[in-house]
Amino acid sequence: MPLLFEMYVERDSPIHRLDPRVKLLWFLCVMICAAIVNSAVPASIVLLWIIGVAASARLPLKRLLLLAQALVYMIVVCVLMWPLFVKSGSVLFKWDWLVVTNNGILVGIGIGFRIASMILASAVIFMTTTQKELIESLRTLKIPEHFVFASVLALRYIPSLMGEWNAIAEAEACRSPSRGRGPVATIRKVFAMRSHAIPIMHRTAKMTTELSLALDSKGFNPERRPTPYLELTTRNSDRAFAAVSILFVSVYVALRFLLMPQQMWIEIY
Amino acid sequence: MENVVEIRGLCFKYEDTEASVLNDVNLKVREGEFLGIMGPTGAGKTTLCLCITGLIPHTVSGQLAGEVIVAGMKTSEHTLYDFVPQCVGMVFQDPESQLFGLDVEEDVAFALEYEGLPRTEIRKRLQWALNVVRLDGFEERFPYFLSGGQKQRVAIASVLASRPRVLVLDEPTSELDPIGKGEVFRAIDDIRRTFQCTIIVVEHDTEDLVRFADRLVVMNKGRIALEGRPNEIFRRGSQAQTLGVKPPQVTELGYLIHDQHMSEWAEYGIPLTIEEARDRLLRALEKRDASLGKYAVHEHPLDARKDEPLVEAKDLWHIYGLGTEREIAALKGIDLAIHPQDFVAFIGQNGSGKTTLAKHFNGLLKPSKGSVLVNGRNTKTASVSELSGMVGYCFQNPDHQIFNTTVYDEIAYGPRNLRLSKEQLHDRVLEALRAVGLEGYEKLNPLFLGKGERQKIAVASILAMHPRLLIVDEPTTGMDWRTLTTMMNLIKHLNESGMAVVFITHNMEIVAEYAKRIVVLFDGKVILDGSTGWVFSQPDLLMKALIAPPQITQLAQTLKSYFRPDTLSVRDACEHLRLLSRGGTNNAVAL
Repeated sequence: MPLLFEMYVERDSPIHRLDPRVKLLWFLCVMICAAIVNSAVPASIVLLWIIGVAASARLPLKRLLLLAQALVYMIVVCVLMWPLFVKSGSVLFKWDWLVVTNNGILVGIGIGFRIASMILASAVIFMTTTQKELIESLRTLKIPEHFVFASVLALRYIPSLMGEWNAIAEAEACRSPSRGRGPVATIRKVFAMRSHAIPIMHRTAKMTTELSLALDSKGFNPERRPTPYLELTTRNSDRAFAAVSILFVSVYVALRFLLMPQQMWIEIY
Repeated sequence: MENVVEIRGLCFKYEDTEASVLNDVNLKVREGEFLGIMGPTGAGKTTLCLCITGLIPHTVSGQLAGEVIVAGMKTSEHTLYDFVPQCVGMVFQDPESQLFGLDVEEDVAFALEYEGLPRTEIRKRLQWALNVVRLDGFEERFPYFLSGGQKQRVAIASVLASRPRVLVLDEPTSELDPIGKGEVFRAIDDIRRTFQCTIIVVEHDTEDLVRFADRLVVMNKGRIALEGRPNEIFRRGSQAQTLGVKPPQVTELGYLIHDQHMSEWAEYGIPLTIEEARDRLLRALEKRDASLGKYAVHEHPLDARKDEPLVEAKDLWHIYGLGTEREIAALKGIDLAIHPQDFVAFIGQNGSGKTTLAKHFNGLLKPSKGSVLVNGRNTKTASVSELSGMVGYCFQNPDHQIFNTTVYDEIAYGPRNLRLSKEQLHDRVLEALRAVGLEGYEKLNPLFLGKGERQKIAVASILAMHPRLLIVDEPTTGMDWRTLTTMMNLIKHLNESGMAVVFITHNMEIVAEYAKRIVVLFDGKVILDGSTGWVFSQPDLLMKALIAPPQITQLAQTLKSYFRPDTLSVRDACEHLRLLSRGGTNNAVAL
């Protein structure tokens, strides 16, 4: 999984140009839609909606295919696993204790699509929105500054700490026995990571101390909300996109809870 | 001119230390002054900076006595926000820990946003600060991916944007190549001249400092031991040298001329800068009718090497992120051999590929194309562990390679993995400790020792593996001259006892003093490879690699009718002068 800062794809697309707050609203709508359905058809419509947005963002096919490959594996696992638990619906196959029903298959596909939707929607957000825009939208949405700044630091220092970790791992490898290849070697390597604890804790503590000094020296005050340097503006296209997203989620909520509850949500037992 | 900083009777003791770090410090800094602070490691320089910025006592706790007044405000009687960042700003040694934004723009605008300035003003100051440090166009770059010099300049811009009256910089250039170092100093000096900003810089390297500083302070054991203009601090017989402060090489030449009673060169005096030294020497030389005559620099001796190489790189390429959109070719077709008993320095500007190349020698990195043979074995098919008995790698930061809580266990960590008997293991640990002069440290916790000692432990832990080639990455970064020479003498001793050594450094004086061979890297390619004297006498190619030879070599090269261009040390230069005073040096450099 690439790091977040590596995920952003620079493009001049309608989705890139959207106000990040509208994209977050869309993301929320997608999450609601995906969460309230478990059947294959409604879940596939949500997935198609996200694919449509990804296509409008002109995201690189190579990267999307890499992601799609992982998602297909996950959907296959869901389709194989869920029929074992779903007992409702007409029986398609029966052998000893194993009973596979049509509902089991539909739910398997539905849950697979649901998880795929959530992952793909997150990827679309990170591939079309800079971290800075995301952070600034959190600020304008009045999320507490403690949380916002902690997110900034987390995003900023992930690569630094990974760099530290890699340097420690390299230093350790220079003085370690050969651990060979294969699964046993992997387990040995994981156990060997115990020795990384001392240097990584030492380095992190040092970095944290220096960071707090640097923050204080720049007049950082967690009680104070800073002037947002990045100006977020909402245009008609943003309003239209937001309206469509809200309409979509409203229709889904109505179908799920009022109009077609059985088609949208299959009872497992 | 008004004093912008006034320190009276300042004493400070950290909560977790027994002794005071600052003892009765008294100091006044005038508005617009450029003050340099020097002194050995542990002298209290950083603590003094923290007191000036008010971080002591507001952020760092301990026992404080005396007073610090900045821009008329007593720091202990005001909140930090009263004088930070508008009155005083600080740039720390490690740029990594002070750049916390998601892009350069955010870092530079950070303090301004918290000051509550309007957006238009923030934008104006942001552009101005980036322009001052010559980083226009870098606004949207992610700080992690910038070079060391660029990060340091962003750190300066981020403080500068608040237009502080006092700018404090704690070893701002310790990890930079010579050109990057010069750039940072010139930027600081520009800021001082243009905006009447007061500059306080802590620095070990005196060559740049004496050029720009109005006044120097030498600290020792928490006190101000010396204070004065650069020419007063470095006058002959000054206490500065005994306090571990290394003067510029041209100044050292003056000391040597005097100590060796070479009265015919007395006119040289004690210069501080290369320009001063050149003018004085030229005047003295022109009075004498002596010239160097014909000479030739030794050809590099590598072609003559017949012994089997220990490490051999053939058409070595390394591409980071191979197969992704972010491919970066760090090495581009390197052909290089390291022989037994070589003492090689890898030099080049930040990002030229030095560390990437060295990491191929013990298999930490595998070639993207081409091959590396270690004692005839292809590293593509060998693990790092399998090569560790042949090639030892000592990392730049000793803190990355300390995994144990006692020195003994730390040194034994590698050999223990070689399945030695208990006695053999014990012998190896003691032998390694002896080699680095740390006998008796066995039971101490390495994390609580000084950086110099931790660096020695890191070397000892590699030595205990009995490698035939020792690679030391930046062994001297952030060290004072005394610690630095101790470390290099240790490495030299190891080389003399038969171990091949490759070291990576930006310190050209160290290279000239210790290396027998230099490999110059530029943009992933080896552009020079030869004996130390030969490489340093190729100024045009060095310029291409953005490398500046040591100051004394530069002096010799500006006076090329009189000096050999491969003059490497102050001793060499002094010897040339002695020969010149005997009426010409044709005999001295017959090659």
